[in-house]
Amino acid sequence: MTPASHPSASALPEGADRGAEVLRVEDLVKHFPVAAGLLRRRGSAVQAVDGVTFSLATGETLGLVGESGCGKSTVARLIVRLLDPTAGRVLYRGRDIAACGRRQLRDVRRELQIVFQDPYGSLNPRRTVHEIVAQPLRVHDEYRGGEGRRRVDETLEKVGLRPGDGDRLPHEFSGGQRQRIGIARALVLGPRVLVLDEPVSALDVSIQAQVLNLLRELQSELGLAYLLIAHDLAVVRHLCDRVAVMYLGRIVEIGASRAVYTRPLHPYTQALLSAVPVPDPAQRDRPRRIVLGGDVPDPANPPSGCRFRTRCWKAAERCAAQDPALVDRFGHGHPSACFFAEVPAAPTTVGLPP
Amino acid sequence: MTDRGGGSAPAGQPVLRIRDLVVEFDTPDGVVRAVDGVSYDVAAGETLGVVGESGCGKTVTVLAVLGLLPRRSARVVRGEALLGGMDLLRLPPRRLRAVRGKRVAMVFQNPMTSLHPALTVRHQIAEALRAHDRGLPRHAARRRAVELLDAVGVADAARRARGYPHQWSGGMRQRAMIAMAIANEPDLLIADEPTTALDVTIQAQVLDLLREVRGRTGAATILITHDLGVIAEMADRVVVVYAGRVVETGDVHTIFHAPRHPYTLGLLAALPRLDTDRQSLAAIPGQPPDLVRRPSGCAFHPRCGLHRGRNRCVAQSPDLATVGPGHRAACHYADELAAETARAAGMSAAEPGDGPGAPA
Repeated sequence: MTPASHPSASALPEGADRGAEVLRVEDLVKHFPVAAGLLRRRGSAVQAVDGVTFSLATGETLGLVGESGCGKSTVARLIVRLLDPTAGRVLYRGRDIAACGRRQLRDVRRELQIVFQDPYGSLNPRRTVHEIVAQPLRVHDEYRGGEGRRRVDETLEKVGLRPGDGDRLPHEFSGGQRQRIGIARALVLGPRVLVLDEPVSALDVSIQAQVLNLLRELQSELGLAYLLIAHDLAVVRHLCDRVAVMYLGRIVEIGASRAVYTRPLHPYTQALLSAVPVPDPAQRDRPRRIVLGGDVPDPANPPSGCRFRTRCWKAAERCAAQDPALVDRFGHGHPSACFFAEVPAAPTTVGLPP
Repeated sequence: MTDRGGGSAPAGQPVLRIRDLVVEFDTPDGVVRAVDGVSYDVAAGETLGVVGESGCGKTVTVLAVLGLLPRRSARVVRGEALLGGMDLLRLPPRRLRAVRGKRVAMVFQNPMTSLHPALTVRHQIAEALRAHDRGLPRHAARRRAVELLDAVGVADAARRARGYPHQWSGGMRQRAMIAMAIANEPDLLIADEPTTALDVTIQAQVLDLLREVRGRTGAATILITHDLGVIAEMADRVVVVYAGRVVETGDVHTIFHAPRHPYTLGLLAALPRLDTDRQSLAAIPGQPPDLVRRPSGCAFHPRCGLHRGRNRCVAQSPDLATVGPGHRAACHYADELAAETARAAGMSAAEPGDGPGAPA
C-alpha cells in the first residue's frame, strides 16, 4: 500500500497525540416516543439509550457490544448526529456536537465519519464508485478537478481497490469489496474518528478477515480512532483495545479488552461470553456455560433498579430497588454496574490453554 | 413428549443418502451449476454439520431434496436422495408433500417468514399435526400443540399459544418452528441457519433445545450453517462445501484439528477468536468464485495457498479421496497439508494464551 502523497499520511493527523481524548460521550440519553395505543399509556417512550458515558482516544479502538435492542447502534447514530439526543452531550475534541449549528456540524463531520453495516443498502446503485467516494468531497466543496480525482483514486488504493474500479457500479462488486467502497467514502475527507456500525457482519468469514485486517492497517497508518459497534464478540476482541458491554440502553461493564474477556465482572457479560459457540469441538462440554432464561425486556417498560435483574441468577431485593452505578468496584480500572459483581476465580474466557 | 415408536432407523443407519446431486439455475448471465455432484449421508441420531459460505450450494442441496426449488429457474440434472428406499427426487409432488413435515421436517433461519402472520401459533402447529393425521380431532390437535410448545420451553404455553407470531420474540418463534418440526416425530430434521437471526444468549437457548430434541427423538439432523462455532458445538460429522462441491468431510474433531483441505484450514485461520488478543488474521485472498465462470480444475485454486502455480490444480478437478478413517478431502495435495497443519498445531500449543492474573 503506497502512502498518500502528503508527507504526514503515515503519521497521526496534525495536532493529535496518540492517547489524547478525541471523543467523549456524557450521560447520553435517547428516548423514542411510542404512539399511544391500546396497550400503552400515553407518553411512554422506548428508552433506547439511557445514560451512557465513555471516551475514546486517538489511535484507539473502543468496542460497543450487546444484543439487539441494547442501544449500541443508537449510540452510533447519536455520535454522528443522525439522531438528536434527548439529553446528554457528545463532545468531539471538546465541542458539543449536539449543540452545533449546521456550519460547525459540517466541520465536525469532516473528521468524524461512519461506516454502515450493509454494503448493499448504503451505496447508491446508480452512481459509479468514483462518484460515491467523491460525494463527501463535493458536499464539503473540496472536489476540485484533477486534485479531487487524485484524492479519490488515492483513497481507493488505500482500501485495496484499483483506481480503475472507480468507473464501475456497486453491483459489479462482491460484498467485501463493497464494504471497502463504504470505508473509502468514510476516509476520503481524512477523518480522525470512524464509527464502524457492524462493518463485517454481512460478510462471509473469509472476506470478513480481509476487511478486519484492512481496518487495522488503516488505523496504524492513519492514526484513526475507531468506535466499533458489533454483536460478534470475537470480532470485537480482535479489533478493540477497550470494550463496553451494553444491556437495555446502559453500559454494564467497561474496561480493557483483555480484562473484560478474561475476567468479566458483570453477570450479563459472563453469560454473554459463555454463550458464544467456540469453534473447537474439544470444548463443547466445557463447564461454566451460563444459559440465560427468557428474553430481553421491553425497552419501553424496563425493569426497576438493575435492568438485567429479570434474567440474572444473582438478583436480590436490592437489585429491584436500587440502580447499580457503573463504578470501578475493585480498583482495576474496570468499572461494572452490579451490586454483586465478582472477579471470577479463574479466567472465564473459554478456550484458554489449561 | 413420548418416546419414538417404530419407524425410525436404528442409530448409525443412514436415514438419508444424497448421491451425486447436480442442480442448475438459469440466470440472466447464463446457467449456474449451484450444486455440482454433492454426496453425503446422515444417520439416525447423528447431527451432520454442513458448512460453507453464501452461495456455496449448501442450502440449495436440501431444497432440491425437499422439492422446494423454484420450478421456473432451477432443475435437478441428476442424482439421488434416498430416504429409506425412496428416491425423493423422483417422487411425485403429492407423495413428496406427504413426506415433508412428516418424515422430514425443516427449521429455517427466519421463523417470521415461515409462520403465517394472521393465524395463531397454536392453530398453525395443530394444522401441521392434522395435515398428516386427518383422523386427529381439532381439539386434540390443539391440546397436543400446547404440549409441544411446553416441551420446547415456551413458558405459559397454553396462554401464549393463542397469540400471533408478531407477539412472539425471535427466540420464541424459533421455538415454535422447532415444535412444529418435531410435531410429527420426523426421522430427519433439517435446520438451515436456525440461530443465525438470533442474539447469542438466545442462540444458546435454541442450540440447547435442538440438542435436547435430538436426544429425545433420535432423529437424524442436518445442520446447515456458516458459523463454525455452531458446527463445533453441535455436529458429530462435518461436510465442508465450496462452489457447489463437497471439499472435505469427516468427524468433527478431525475437521477442526486436522483438516486436509486448504479451504477448511483457511476458514479456521480466518476466524477471529474470543480467546486471543488482537493480531492479524490469515484471510483467504480473493473472492468466492462466480459460478457462471467457475475456475477450471479445482474451483478453489485461484485463492489457494497450496496451489503454488501447479498445473494439476488448474487442469484437473480433484475427487473426494480418503485421507484417513472416515475422512475425505478433495485436494490433489492433501498430503502436503497434513504436514502444515501439524506444524500450525504445534505452534499454537506453544503460544502462551492470556495467562491468569493478567492485569486489568
